Amino acid sequence: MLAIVYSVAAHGFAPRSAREMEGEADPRIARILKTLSECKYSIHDLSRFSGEGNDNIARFNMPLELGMAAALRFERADSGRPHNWLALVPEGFAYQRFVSDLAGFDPGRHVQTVDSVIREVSAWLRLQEDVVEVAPSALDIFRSFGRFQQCVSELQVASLQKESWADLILACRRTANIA
Amino acid sequence: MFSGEQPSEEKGLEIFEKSAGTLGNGYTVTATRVEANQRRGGLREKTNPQWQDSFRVENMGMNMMRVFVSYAKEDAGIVRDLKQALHDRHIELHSMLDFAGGETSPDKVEQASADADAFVFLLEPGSHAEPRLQSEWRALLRNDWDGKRPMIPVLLHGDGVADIPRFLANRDALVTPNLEQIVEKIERVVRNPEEGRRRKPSARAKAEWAQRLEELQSFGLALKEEARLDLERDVSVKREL
Repeated sequence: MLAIVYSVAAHGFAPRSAREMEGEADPRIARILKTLSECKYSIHDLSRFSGEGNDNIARFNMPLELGMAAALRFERADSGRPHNWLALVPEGFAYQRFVSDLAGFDPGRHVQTVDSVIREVSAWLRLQEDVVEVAPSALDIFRSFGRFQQCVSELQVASLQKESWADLILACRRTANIA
Repeated sequence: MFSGEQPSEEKGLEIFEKSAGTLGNGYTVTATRVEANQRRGGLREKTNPQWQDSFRVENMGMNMMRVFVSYAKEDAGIVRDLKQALHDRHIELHSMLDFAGGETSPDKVEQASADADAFVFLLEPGSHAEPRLQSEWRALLRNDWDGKRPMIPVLLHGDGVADIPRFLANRDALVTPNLEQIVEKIERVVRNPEEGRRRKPSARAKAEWAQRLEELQSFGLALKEEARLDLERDVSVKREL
């Protein structure tokens, strides 16, 4: 998740998440919808698709959110307020079985490593019309990612291990560099 | 072009083996393998140092350079002409035309572009909205991991910077449908890669970046302030209770 957040900021975008409104009383799904609808772009990582824990349960939140984004894109086509999304899936073709409705799309594939995530997200963000002209290379983002992690760790310590979304944003601000 | 080329699988990497020998056109293959490209999974890497830079088709000491061209379907004819013209100048042009039966898998583009010395983008007005091209460009950008791959935007028709995608905005673009000019530009860039690399950021681009950072800072601080107010409200409600 941190690699996606940092890549987004490094291309001149503001990373948003339902986590930024954690203190509010609205149901989580309402917060997600509100945040998503305020964004022009969204990234959905579906790479953790297998079951977890003793009950072997897979989490369905990400596909649910991707569905919201797909609906936004469809509804806003030609509206002057477009929405574009990227789905990230694991390397290989397993995604064609667990989310077969993505057939015909070109999802980003990664192997759950920082460099593979940065590479995919960067390649997609650089194609978006609002990307900054001076966006750094994927390698530059990868190289400065360690500093970002360090900054996040320091903020975690400062906030007694409960870093907030605001802290992540400020860590991005401190470490992102231009090309 | 290489009769001995056969794909093989080895340790999860796709490797193309090439038979050493002399090709019909007089070029000599001097090594047996092309650098392997670990598809999508990570960095483009050379798996065996012994193979490094070992593959080049040589003719009188001149390397045969590889260029990958991305184009809209209506420009396939130009690409065919370009391929022939560049071949005469010892430059191999690769494109979707190389794939039989119109296969358009991003994996194939990724493989074909991984070894390219430069990318050429033949653009038409509205190209950037075409899903096939978007997908192809993403594959090319994945192979620009270090941001140093020379890229040549060529606007075939239209006159506006608006028709050049944002990621090519800081490259020197050619605006012409003239084949000879395009060939000359590609040859220049291939021989002198610096010409196809990104220009240093302009003052306007730097100002844009500074403004985005400023907005990020304001956003982060505003979130912090909201969180602080929420906390105060919670404390106050608890006190009242």
